[in-house]
Amino acid sequence: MHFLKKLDIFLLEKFPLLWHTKLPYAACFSIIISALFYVWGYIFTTEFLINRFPESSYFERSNALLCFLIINAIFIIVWALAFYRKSAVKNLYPLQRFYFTRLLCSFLFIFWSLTWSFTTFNWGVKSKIRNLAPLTELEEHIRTINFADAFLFNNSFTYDTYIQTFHPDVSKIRFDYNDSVWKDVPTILCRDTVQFNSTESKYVKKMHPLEIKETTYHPSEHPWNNDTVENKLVQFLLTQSRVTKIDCYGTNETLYLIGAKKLNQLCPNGLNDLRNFCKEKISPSYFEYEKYDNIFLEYAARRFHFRGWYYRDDNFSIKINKDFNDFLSQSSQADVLQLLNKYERLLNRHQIGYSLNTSEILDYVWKRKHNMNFSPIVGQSSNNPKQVELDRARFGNLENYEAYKSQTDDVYEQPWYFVETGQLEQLYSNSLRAHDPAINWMAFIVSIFFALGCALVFFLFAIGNPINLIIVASAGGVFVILNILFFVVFLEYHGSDYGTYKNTEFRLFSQLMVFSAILYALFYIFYQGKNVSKRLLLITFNLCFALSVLFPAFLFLFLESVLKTEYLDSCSDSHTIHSLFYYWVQDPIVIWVSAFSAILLFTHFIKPVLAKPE
Amino acid sequence: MHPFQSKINQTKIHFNNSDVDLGFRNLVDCVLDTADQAFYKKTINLVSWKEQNPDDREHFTRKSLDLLQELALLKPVGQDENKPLATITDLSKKYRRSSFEIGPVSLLINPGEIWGLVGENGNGKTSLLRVIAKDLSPDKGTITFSDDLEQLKLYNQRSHLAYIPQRTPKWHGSLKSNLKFTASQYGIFGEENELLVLMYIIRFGLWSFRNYKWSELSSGYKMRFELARTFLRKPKLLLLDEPLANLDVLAQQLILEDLKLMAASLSNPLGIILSSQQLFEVEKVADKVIFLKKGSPIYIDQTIEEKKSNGVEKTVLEMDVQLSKEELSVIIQPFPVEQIQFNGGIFIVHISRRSCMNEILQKLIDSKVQITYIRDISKSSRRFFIQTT
Repeated sequence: MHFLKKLDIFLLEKFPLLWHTKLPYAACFSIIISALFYVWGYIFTTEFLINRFPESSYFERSNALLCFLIINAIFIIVWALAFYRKSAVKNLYPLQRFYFTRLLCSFLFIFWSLTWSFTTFNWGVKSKIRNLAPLTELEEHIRTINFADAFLFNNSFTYDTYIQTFHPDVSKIRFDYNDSVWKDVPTILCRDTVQFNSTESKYVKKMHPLEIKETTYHPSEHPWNNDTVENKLVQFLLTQSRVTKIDCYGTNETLYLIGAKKLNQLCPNGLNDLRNFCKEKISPSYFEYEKYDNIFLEYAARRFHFRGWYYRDDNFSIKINKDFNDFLSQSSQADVLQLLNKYERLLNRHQIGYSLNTSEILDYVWKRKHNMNFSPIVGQSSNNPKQVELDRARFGNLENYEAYKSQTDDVYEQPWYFVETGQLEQLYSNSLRAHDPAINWMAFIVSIFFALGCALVFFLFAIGNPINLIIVASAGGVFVILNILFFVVFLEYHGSDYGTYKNTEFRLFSQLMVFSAILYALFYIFYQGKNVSKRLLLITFNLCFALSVLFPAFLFLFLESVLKTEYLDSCSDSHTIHSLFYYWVQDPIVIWVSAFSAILLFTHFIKPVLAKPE
Repeated sequence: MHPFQSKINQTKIHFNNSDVDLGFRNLVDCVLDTADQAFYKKTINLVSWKEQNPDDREHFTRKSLDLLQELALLKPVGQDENKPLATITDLSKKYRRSSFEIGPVSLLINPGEIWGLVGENGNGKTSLLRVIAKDLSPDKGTITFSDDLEQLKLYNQRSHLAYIPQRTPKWHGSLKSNLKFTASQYGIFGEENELLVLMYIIRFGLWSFRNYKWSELSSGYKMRFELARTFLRKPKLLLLDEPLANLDVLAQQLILEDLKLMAASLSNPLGIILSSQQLFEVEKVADKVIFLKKGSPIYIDQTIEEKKSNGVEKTVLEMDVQLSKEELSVIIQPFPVEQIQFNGGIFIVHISRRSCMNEILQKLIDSKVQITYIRDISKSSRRFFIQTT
């Protein structure tokens, strides 16, 4: 207490602005609250949650959001009461150099500091996730999961396709000349086009069906796709669709078959479309895959694909596939059992929902050892969800099923098992996010924008009175409505003049520029005028001040609308060449800096306006 | 003799005459004039000592005299410049709605000078003060400040024109923290901030109340706080709107006396314009008085009035006596009575003779009339408040 008192006096005597804005106290408050939120996030996060919900939802799920809002609301009320009880500006005290800039920066910092607790909560969550499910540890289990998965569930796409494709009998690829015709034509697609109707002098929208042209492929007719592998003539082909314009208002989509020299060119869906038109076998060594230096590069490559995280890339899948084949060729029954047990431990460790009987599965696999293509394991019967449902319905529960199985001698009956792969996916996804960089730049920019908005509102309160600000808010609303009405009504009656996007945008932003200019001109006139009501001057000033935040964006958009080039091609399709300002508007840093600079520039008017006699 | 030495001598006289409170206030003024932090500390120590030994008056006097002795050894302080603070020429302000107009007013305000601004309610006193404080813009006329003020921008200029409204705004926090905040805004930091604030707390008798809040202070102390806060701002021109309203007689006298002393500060002499209804009290301290009647000014220079009154062949008396108008007329019949006005409680007697108050008083005593009070208002602006028939 004594220390606080001394600190308070020190600030009051040495740094009156800090004392007045209570910035050090606000910072301390934010640090304490942030620390508490960190602990909250850390404690709240459990293995159960990690497996089930994305980490970004914990803030809301834990009621931390509600708490965050309440605490910040209370803080803002208490802080505002403390701050607005004194006013150097309203007392016309002489202000130190860059007083308003420093005041605005203080506000900015205070309001930004209120967002810290959100960040630290997520840090707490991520920290706990990193402790409970370290990515390095999970990476080590990727192999286990993928290998074990081959014996379990829902692997037709990965294992079935790849194993059967590449190991060891390439001849299992279905190929024949008749297979080159794509009969499954996709749904007819439509696209909009804008067409100029000369009779109505208007642009109108027209819908055009996307025509799909069927082609028939005969390898002999496409010798440029030939390749020679191991002295054998082959054609490895991929499908690719191409859009061809027939005329301006219609297109053809043609499916092409193109040659693929190496397997690593066949991604991401290349394998599905692969056709080998050679009747002879090719050895698997032909299908080389890209090697990664380390597991993180593999991970980086996987990220781009939409499939399950641990086999996201076809190349990686192929690698796994090869490894798995090696594993199969070298492993004993004990090795497979060890693999399945390891998998089970992993599921246990992370509280993933499952029901596995590893010995039964192993037994089932080994009984089919003579037919090591594993299709019965991962084939249709095990992968058919309907079959699983039927089994469940039939036996009611696992006990019944096991009782049934003990009575029957049906060695071909697949064991009943269940793994919550969704939870496994969520675990890896959360772990992955927990290892993202601590600072999320987009969240940082958003929090700064939030702080700037709050700072501006409270800054206006610091230099004006509440009644004036209420009038300013109302007047601002009227201006917005007037602008909308003016724009809409004018567009309605002069639609033909503003048919293109360029003209519409030019119209909108030039209107905003004119309104802004009128407002600034009014402010200047009132400021220079001798017999103008002070209240009117203050209201105009506040409106201009608030407008100054948006003005740079308006200006950029206006300049963009003037400088951008739009042209219609021979098919009346619109194309735009943007100016630099278009990219500036989309850059949050440029917008933030320009808005902040505009506010700072406007602070120069505060003293003369406030001091002006009534 | 240098004014600083005179001030010290005068202070010693107060102490020697056992006017310890008055003497101490003068002592604090002398210390403030030095702007020497070492003396600030000694004064603060002295007050702290007094707080612990409230009954040891003799010892306190001795310590004060010792401090005075030390002050006397200092090099005299003071500003020699005596340029006008503000020159107001033909200033007028018109209200369009009511068509009420103030002015034209012309004033020349010098440092150390107190102007009284008197007039009935609604005659434009507050408006005139606000126009001078540049809170309202005049319709005509000019206000020219001294060079150092004139070259400042409007906001900074207004920072040096301290206008204290009749109803002072509420403040929050302790009295001392508010004063410290004001001082820091005026660039007074660190130890100087603490010392100067305490000096003004002492000067305006707020020592015991320094940790009080607004709600814990009486009106008189609130006004003292405002004055302390204003003097911390080192204003060039102080504009006070009815500072004596809601104050008891003693508090009024104290504040007026303080204003008189502070205006005559050697280190920071300032001009004061003071509006009030307390005519006699204001006249006691004001060098010059403006009487506003329906917005038009009547100027009364107290020193000139004094001289003028010697040649005036008229006496105006205000009296409260237990008589009817007819009885009073009979008693003062021997005098050349021009007019007797009665407003139901007080008589205003106009006599066409110079300085005859003593004779009339004697006559009333001889007639065994019970006199509540009698006052010669021949030179006072009070006479302008009287409705002539």
